[in-house]
Amino acid sequence: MSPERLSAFWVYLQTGGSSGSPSTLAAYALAHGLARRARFHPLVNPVAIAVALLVALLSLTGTPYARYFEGAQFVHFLLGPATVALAVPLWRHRDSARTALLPMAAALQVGAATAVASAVAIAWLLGASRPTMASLAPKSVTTPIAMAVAERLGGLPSLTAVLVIATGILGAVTAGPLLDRLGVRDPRARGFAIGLASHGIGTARAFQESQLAGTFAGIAMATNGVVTALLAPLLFAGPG
Amino acid sequence: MLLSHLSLLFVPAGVGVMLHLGRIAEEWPAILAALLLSTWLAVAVTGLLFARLVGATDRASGSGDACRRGDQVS
Repeated sequence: MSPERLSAFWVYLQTGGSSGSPSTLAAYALAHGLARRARFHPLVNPVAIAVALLVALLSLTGTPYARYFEGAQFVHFLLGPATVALAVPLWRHRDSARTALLPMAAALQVGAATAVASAVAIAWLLGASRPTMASLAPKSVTTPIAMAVAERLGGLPSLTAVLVIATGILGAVTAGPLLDRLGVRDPRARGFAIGLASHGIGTARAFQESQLAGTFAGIAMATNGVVTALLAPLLFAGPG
Repeated sequence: MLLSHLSLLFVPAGVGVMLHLGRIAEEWPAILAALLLSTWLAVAVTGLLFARLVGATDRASGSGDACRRGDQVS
């Protein structure tokens, strides 16, 4: 970012006058405190709690979402750069990443196709409208990419953002117990599956399991973003 | 530190659920089923395939002793 844009950004932050970012941080801090008190039990998901708190707050004060989001943009904007931070644990675990290149490539392609095709097929079977199906197709990848893919498919990007986050929460809450039941104990396999199916929120959850699981979740999240962007338009041409 | 709080960054977009309550009220069975089943399928397929392949790779190269707990799968 250029210095001019950066300083404009700070001016905006100081004069914006909206309480979107502070209230987001406060809601998250409260939600995270609850999750910590529950010893990070998967059912006590910080994102779900923070979203519920903020929806209640905005409804009670009669604040429209657009005004809230204007103020919360700073937090939303960090989503892009934060992905770069995933490179740190990746570098730390580079040797174990290198030994698993083939499993990663195969699981990535099969997993990405499963995530897109099954979401669209199930929604289609249950009579969902076409914009809803298009908004569901990229649900497993990180929000910025998913919104772009949904727009290209004729979906609603802001609905996609919600579905992506719901997927992330679902994955973070249920993937661990599901993998336990399936007997998948290798932290690399667990992390990769959670990150592929439920992007950043799943990755955050995988880091709570272990550094190794989180690293593989980060790899899966980043690579699935690219694969889904290429694959979803091809798969979505099918139904309808 | 940043990574363990990655999920904070998803909160603003998540609050956007407010904008789509009408559509979600109309189509919630299809949306819920698609989200749940598709997420479970993706986790199961990816996890099982990765664990099976990584077991094979570790055996072939004779490395990865620390990570062999996944072998029960195959």
